[in-house]
Amino acid sequence: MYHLDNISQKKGNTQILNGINLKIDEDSIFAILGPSGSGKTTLLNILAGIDRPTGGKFLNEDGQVERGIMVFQDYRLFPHMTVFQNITFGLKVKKTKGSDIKQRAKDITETMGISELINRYPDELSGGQQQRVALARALILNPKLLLMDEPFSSLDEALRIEMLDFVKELQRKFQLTIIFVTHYKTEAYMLSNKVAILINGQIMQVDAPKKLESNPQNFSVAKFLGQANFIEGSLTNDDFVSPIYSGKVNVVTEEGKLYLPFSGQLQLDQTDYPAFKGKIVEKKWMGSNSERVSIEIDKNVIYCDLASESVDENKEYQFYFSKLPVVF
Amino acid sequence: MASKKFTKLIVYLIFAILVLMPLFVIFMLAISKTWSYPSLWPKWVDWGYYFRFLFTSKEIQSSLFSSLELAVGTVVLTIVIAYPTAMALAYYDFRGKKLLNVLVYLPLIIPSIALLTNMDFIMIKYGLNGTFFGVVSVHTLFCLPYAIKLLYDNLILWKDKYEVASRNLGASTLQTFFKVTVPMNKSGLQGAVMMTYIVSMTQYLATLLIGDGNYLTLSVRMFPFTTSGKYRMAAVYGITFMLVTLIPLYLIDVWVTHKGRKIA
Repeated sequence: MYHLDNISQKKGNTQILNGINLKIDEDSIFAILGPSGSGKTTLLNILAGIDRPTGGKFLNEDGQVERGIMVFQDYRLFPHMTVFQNITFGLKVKKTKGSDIKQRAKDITETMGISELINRYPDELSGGQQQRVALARALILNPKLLLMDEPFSSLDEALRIEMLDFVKELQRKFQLTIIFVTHYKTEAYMLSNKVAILINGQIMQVDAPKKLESNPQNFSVAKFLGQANFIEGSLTNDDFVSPIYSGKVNVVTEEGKLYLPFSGQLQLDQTDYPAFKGKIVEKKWMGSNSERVSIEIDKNVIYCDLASESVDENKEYQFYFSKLPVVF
Repeated sequence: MASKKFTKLIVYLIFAILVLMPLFVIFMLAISKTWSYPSLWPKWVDWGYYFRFLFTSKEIQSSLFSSLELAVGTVVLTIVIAYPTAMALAYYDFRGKKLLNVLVYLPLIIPSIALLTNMDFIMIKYGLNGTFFGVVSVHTLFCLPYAIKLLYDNLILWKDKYEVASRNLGASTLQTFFKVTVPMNKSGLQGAVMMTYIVSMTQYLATLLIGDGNYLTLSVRMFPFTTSGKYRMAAVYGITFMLVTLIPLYLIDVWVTHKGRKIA
């Protein structure tokens, strides 16, 4: 277990990180998800020993300071060195024996599928190949902790899925702890079943992807995750009043915004929480099993993901909440 | 299209005449035995004269040695000071950075004669006038602005991105400097070394004033020849001067372009 103990970072008068507390299991993949400018890279730099925090500590299980090996967003392969020289850089500076270096380089390039590239220079590689080299350069050092900064953001869609699976495979093979930061929630959800949300230098929530989506802890998390309707209204005690829905709600914070995520919250099957009557004005295809429908209620339009072909356009339906809705 | 090519050719030609004509004259002067007014070409050309002169004249040999000795010393001292300064300016934000940026150019802004007389005064006070270190440090003063600027412009391209990666992979500060910083910024270093070498070689007043006559470099010896009309001698010095400047420049260029990969 790695402990991030009240880590803070201040640069000039700007508080970049504010009392970060996290516990991260070993031999797992942990995602830190947040919008740009939230302090993700700053946090990762601290875990990599590149920056020193102005407050707090990062310790491993034995209470020791441990430095993670970083795979940078822009890879940072040394442009004046060949792939082989790049990969073996970390071993060379540690004065590892030459025969050892060769063997380990051979092993890691085979694992990464880059054996044919060892005499090339970084600018002769594709983005995906560069990433494999960057991973090889880190993994040849047998790190326990691997840090990845926006690892897949510069890859195209197909390659991204391929690399996601590959990184998962590497994690199992080397029994690594991987901490990675990203601003793509799908990336975080696909790679990790424990995701921390970092907004404005603070950890807002640590949860499994499904729980994050269904129970965001506050308005900023809900807003960042997106894919939801926020309906303005007024609150009196536990009663919410708005043109779309008026009635009982679960009040989390008192900003007066009803949170209706596109999926999971609204349904046609009857529950104890009737929502509203609305007319279907549009349907959009969202993959083979679901479609996003636009529902008009009293001239207001909200969106909702429903099973394919469950509603028809220009017809009115009664909707229900699957559980008591939340107001932020 | 053709007229564009023609204009280009004319421009090149004018440029070549402007640069090459004086060089040609110096070259002819160095190898001619008699070349007097009003003849257009020298009457008698002796190709061996220059080399015989170079290998027999004790004076030119000692000048050559002085020049090289001072230039190498200046290059070393300048790079030792300029590299960390350029790195600090390129990589870090600190209080007084703007002031340092201006201070770097001060030796070029202040009139050199004013600077030199005051430097001479200080050198005398500390007993450094006429010493190797004294002269080298004054040369360095005039070389630093160029060296720092050239190194800085190259270092700012990547800032410390690759150094950060290198240290994260376990390299020490020194290993990072020699394995990453220097090879990646080779062209900046090349520029700085070349410029420093040339500026030191061409220092006349500084060498004379601070050197107390102990360092009769090529430029110091050449000057009186030119002013007293001994053009042939001046030309021999001139050619030597060009050779010792151009050959190292060429060697450094070969090192930068052919050893490893040129990246910027």
